[in-house]
Amino acid sequence: MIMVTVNDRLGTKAQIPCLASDPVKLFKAMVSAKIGRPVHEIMLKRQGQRPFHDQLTLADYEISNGVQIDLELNTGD
Amino acid sequence: MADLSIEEANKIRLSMGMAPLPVPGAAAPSGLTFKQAAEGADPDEEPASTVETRQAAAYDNWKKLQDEEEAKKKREQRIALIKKAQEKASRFSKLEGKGLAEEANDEDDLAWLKGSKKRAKQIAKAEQMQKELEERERQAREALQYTEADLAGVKVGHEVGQFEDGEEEILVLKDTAVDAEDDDELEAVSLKEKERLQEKVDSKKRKRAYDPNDDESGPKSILAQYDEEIEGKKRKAFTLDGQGRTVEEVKAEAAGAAKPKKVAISLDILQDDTPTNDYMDISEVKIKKSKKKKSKSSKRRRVEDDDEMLTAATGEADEMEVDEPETVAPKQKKKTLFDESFVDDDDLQAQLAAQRRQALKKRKKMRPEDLARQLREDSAPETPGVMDTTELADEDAGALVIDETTEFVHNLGANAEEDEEETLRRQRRKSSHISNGIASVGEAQVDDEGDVDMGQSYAEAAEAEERNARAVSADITGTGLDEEKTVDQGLGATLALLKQRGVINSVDSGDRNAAYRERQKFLTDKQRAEESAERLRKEHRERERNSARWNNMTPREREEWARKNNVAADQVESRKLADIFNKEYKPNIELNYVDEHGRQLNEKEAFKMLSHQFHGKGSGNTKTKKHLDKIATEKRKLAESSLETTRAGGLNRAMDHEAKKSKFAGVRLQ
Repeated sequence: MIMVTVNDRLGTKAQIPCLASDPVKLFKAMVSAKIGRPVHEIMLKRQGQRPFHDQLTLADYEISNGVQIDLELNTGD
Repeated sequence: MADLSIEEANKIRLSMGMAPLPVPGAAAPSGLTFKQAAEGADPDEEPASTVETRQAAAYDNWKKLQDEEEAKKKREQRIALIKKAQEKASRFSKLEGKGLAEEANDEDDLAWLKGSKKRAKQIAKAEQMQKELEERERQAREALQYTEADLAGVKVGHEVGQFEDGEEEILVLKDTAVDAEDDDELEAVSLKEKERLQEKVDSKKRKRAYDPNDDESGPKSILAQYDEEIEGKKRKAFTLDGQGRTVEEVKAEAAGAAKPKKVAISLDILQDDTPTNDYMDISEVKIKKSKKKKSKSSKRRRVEDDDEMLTAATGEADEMEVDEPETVAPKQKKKTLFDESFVDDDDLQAQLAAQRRQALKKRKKMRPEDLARQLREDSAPETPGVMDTTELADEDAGALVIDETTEFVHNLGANAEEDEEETLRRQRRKSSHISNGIASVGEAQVDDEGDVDMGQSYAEAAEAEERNARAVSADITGTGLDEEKTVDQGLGATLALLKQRGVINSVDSGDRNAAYRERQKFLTDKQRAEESAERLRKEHRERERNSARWNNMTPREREEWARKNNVAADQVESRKLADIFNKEYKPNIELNYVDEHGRQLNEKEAFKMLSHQFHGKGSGNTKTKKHLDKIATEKRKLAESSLETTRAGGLNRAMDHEAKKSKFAGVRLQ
C-alpha cells in the first residue's frame, strides 16, 4: 500500500491510500470521494508533464509511496 | 479534511471490482506475497522483458536467495560439528600411551641402580658426539672465508676506469633469471644508477652520425652509428683474476706492447717566442689620469684613427686578437665626447693598445710574413675601406668640388646667358619682320614696350586687322543669338543649360549656402561642447581618483559615487546642449512630394495625391489621360531646344511668361 498526495496549488491537498497497481481511473474515483469533485472534472498530472491516462496504472507513471501529484480541473479539452 | 481512511477507500475499491487494501489492524498474510507467474506464459519470450514477468520472477529469485541462505547455514553447522568432533578426538589422543606413572616398570630399585651407570655413559657419549659435530661445523665455516682468490674468474659489469680512486664501492651479484646460463656477474648499484642516468641523458641528445669532435682513433666499422641497434648494446665488463688485476689487463700485457703508443705532438710551433704575457701586471701599470677631455679637432683625431687602423692592418698578419680592440678603441673615443663615464675605460684601452704595439715591435724580424705585410701596406691606400674624406680632399686638391653655392652661382651665370640669347634672338626676329613683313605681322605688331611698330605699311596693318576680325567672327553664329549650351561640354554647361530652360531656379543659392554653413557651424559647436564636457569630466574623475576620500571608499561606494557624478555631469551637459539648441538651431524643413513619374509636386498636386491615397480611389479615365498628356508635353518641352520656334515652348514660353508678367500682348522686336 502506498500513500499518494494530491495537490492543486490552491489549497486542496489530500493523501490517498492505494496500491501501485491501481489504474488511474480508480485512483481518480478515490480522489473524487475525498475532495468532492466529480471524476470527469479531475485531471491528474506530474508537474510539467502531460495528464495521466485512465487506462494506465500508477506504477506505469512510476508513482511510489509519498509522491505528490498535481490536481487540475479537467475541462474536457 | 481528514485523510481518506482505508475503510472508505476499500469500499470504493470493492465497488469498482478491485482488490481491497490491506487493513493494518487485520492479520496480514504471512510472509511475502508475490504475483503469480502467468500460466500461459510464452516460453519463447525473453525473460524479464516486461514488468509483469519481472514481478512474477521476483518470487523465484526470492526463493533462490532463501534456499542459498539455508544451505549456507546448514553447511556451517556441519563444519562446526566436524570441528567439534576433531577437537574432541585430539584431546583424547594426548591421553593415549603411557603416563608418567604408568611408565615405571615393575623392576625393583636394584635393577634401576644397575642400569643408571649405563645410562650415564650413554648421556656422556651423546654429549661428546655433539661437541665433535660442532667443531666440524666451525672448521667448515672457517674454510669458507672469502678471499681474493675466490673471486677469480668473476665478471664485473663495469669498466675499470669507472671505479674512482679512493672510493669504496660495494659490488653485488647481478639480478638474473635462475635458469639463465650466464655466469655470475658483479655490479655496483651506485655505478649502475649513474650509468642509467647517463644513458637517459644521451638518449635525449640528438645523435649524429658524424661527430667532428670525436677523436676516437682505431678502426671503425662502416656505419658505426647503427652498431648498437643491430648487435645490441655493448656491455662493458672485465674479469677478475684473483690477484688484484683483471684478466684483460694481463692478456694485453701478454700480447706485448703491440698497441701503438699515443704521442702528443704540439702544433704550437709558431708560438715559441710569444712573450709570457701580453698584459702587464696590475701593480706595474700606471694610468695617467687625463685632465677631463682634451679638445682636439675632429680632423686631427680622424688622422690619428687612420694611423691606428694602419697599425691594426699590420698587426693582423701575426695575431688575430690584436685587431679587435684596436678597431673598437677609436669608436669609443668618439663616444666619450658625449659620455664622461667611459673615460677610464678609454685610457685603459689606449694603454693596452700601446703595450701590444710595443710587443709587436719587439718581435719584428724579417720573415716572409713581414714581406707580405709590407706589400699589403703599400697597396693599402687603394683599398676603399681605408679611404676617408680628408684623404680624398688632400690627395686631389685640384679636382672640381660641387656644392650648393657653386651650383647656385652657376645657375645665375647661365640665366644671364640665356637672357642675352633671348634678346639677341628677338632683335634678329624684328629685323626679319621688317624685311619680309607680311609673313608674320600678327604676332609682332607690338613690341615689349607696347610701341607699335611704325615700320610696316598701312596696307599691311589693315589686312592684319581684317584677319583678326575674321578669326573672332568664326565663333558667332548666323542667328545672332547665343548658341545654346550642350550637355556634352561638361557639368557647368549642363547646369547653365538647365538654368536657361528654367528647369532649375537658383533664386536662393546664397541663402541656402548660408544656411548650410550655419548648420555646419552649429554641428561643430555642439561637438566641441560635448568634447570639452567630456574632457572636464575625465579630469574631474582623475582628480577624484587621486583623492584620499576615494581611496578610503569601498568598491560599492565608489560605484555609487561615480554614478551620482555621472548623472550630475549628464544634467549639466544636457542643459548646455539645450541652450545651444535654443540659441542656434534653425531647422530647415522641406516637404517634398514626388509622384510615381518622379516629378516634384507642388502643394496643390500633393494635396490631390494625398487625398486620392486617403480615399483609396483616383481620378477618372479622362482626367488621368489629361494628366498623362500634360506630363508627356512637359517632357517633350524639356527635351527640345529653347530656340525652337515652331512649337509652343522654349523661348516662346519665356516670352509668353514675360508678356503675362508685364501685361502686354505681343512681341517686342528690338
